[in-house]
Amino acid sequence: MVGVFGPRQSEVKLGFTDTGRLNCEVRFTSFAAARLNKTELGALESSAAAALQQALEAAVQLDKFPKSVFDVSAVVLEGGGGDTGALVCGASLALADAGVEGLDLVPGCGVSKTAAGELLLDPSPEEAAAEEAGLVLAVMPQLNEVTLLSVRGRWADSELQAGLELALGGCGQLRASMRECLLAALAEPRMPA
Amino acid sequence: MEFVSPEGLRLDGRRPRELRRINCQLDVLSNADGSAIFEMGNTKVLAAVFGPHAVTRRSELREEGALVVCEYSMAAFSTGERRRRGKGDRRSTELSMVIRNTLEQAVITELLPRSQIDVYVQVLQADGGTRCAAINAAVLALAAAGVPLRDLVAGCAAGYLDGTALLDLNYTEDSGGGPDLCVALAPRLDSLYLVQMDNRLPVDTFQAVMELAREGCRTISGVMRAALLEHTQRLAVARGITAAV
Amino acid sequence: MRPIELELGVIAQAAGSARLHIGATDVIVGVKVEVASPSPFAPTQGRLGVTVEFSPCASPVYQGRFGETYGEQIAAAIEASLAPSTRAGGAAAAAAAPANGGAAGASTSATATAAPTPSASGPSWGLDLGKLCISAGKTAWALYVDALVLNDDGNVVGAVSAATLAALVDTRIPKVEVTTDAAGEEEIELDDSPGAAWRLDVSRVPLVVTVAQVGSQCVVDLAAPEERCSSSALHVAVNRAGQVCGATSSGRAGVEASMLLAMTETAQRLAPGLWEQIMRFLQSPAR
Repeated sequence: MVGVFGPRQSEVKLGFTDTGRLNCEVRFTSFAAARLNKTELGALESSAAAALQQALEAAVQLDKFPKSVFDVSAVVLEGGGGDTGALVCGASLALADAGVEGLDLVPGCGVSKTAAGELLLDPSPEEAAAEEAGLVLAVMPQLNEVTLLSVRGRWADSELQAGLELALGGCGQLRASMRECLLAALAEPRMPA
Repeated sequence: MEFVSPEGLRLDGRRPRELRRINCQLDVLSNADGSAIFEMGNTKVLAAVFGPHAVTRRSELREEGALVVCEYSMAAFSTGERRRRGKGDRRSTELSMVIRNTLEQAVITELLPRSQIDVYVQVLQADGGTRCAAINAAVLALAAAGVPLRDLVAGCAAGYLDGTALLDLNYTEDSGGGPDLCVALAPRLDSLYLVQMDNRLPVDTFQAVMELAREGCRTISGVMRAALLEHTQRLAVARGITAAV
Repeated sequence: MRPIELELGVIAQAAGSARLHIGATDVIVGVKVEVASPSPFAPTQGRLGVTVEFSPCASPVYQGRFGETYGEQIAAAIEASLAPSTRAGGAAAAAAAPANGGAAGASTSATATAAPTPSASGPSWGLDLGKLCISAGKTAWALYVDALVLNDDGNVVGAVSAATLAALVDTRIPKVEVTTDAAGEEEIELDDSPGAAWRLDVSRVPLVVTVAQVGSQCVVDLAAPEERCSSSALHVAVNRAGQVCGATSSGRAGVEASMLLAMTETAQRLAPGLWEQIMRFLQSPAR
């Protein structure tokens, strides 16, 4: 679940900034991250937030919002495997829903490589746990620009290329669904604030 | 534990009134206006000076003189046991303030009103006497940056263990439970800019230890002066101002 | 790439250390080892922790806590290139997974998809954490890699990565004797003599090469002014065999999808040569 608040006035102490800022925060509910202790959870949350920021920064037209900050707050209800992809999709949809001007929607998805060399798109938690290598990709499909790429593990050249193409294809599919979802939401009458 | 053997030798083989080996390097960083590394035995401290430049926080602007800003931090690998928080902890904050106070007296701040001088001290290796080494490194860096100084202030520590006054304590001697007197002296002006002491010391012994520390400061100041002169000579030769000696 | 200056053993109290200059970029990496208890997820392995700090000596902007997040990102990338899963906690439901292989999973934004910790440090890891185990489930070596950036003239990630490799080569870990006394308690005895220390196997440690996009070109080893001209970059970890062990994107703009492969290829071309160069220097008797 992702909530977007903004544009809000940036803190005074930061002075004048000619571009806006994205302030991303990710929280894992206690049942989503049961096995982690406090420090590990903190590290996970901050790295997820950094990933989110990296993925979205390129897409939001921040120079149209000087002196402001967007607070993107995400809560992971059910975690495990492919979190980042889902986070990016959710945040991108939330930004679009908030009416923030952006260059494109940003879908994100992951690919896992099994020990046998098979590539799996959008792995489930069990598949992700059993992977030998994996990658997460977030892209702006219309512009064909990748905003987030994170590769883990050892890849042979052909495998990497195939993996990237698979992820890009997956993102293309996701974008279509995201767009449909937004259009459907626009068609519904909005609740008064 | 015996800190001074019957023959009068300390744990590392020094005599009670002997300083550790000193090494000064100047202009070690290309980005800073002035920088220096000061080594005293195994203690190694890097200092960088940025400025004088315009004050970053208008509220702190001083009409009468320059504002000296100082931050002391220790690298994680500097101490025997890995240090997790290098700055922001109490000791670092206290030392930042102490060093700042010392330097503010050493710099002729009246010549640079409404400006700010940033001094950053980074401890690379800590083996006792870090605050003194920090002051020395900072003074060298200030000199290298061309900031006007009243004198070549030097810092030195002395202690009292096993009935002997000891000069320049290393970490083991420092943790020996005896007093630790840290002093910063302006040798030409013969005035003290910093006096800090841990533990207890009877008044008459205090005089002896204080005098020893001051002697140490004078020696170190001499070494720093020689290093600065040599560095300037090298720069002058490199720029073709003087012929090589 | 700019010429590199490397010096080993600069920090006497560290188990291993290196200082590296590339252009005016100056970093010191210190490696310290401590006896600690292993992680409950991986009882037969040691621990690894990487931190990257920007000294205010590099620039007044690094005063206080500024630069902490940037440092954390670089640290995550380096740590992932050495041992992927120890940081990215991850899936709650996943049981201890089999070796999450590959010597690197650079993620400046370490993703949550990585498995918690593998049960066995596989042969494809950069660092064999299994060697750091002293007594399974009870004691193990914790390896701490601390990097300090003294001057930033661009390519900090590459500098830290290369300096880490050098520092790891320089690292000496004392031999440990485990004896069980009458009560069944284990006693650890450290053999401090210099001859008894052992070294880490760094043959699989990858190097991170940063490839940036400037206009339509791929550029490596950017100096500080050049970094300001580039909109995005890819940090690729490549091992000595030229295989990609991880990658992370960074920058305020996106990278064109078509450029991605060109960037990884550039990194793959450069890294093995650089690796060999560094190792040759480190092992030369003249050092």
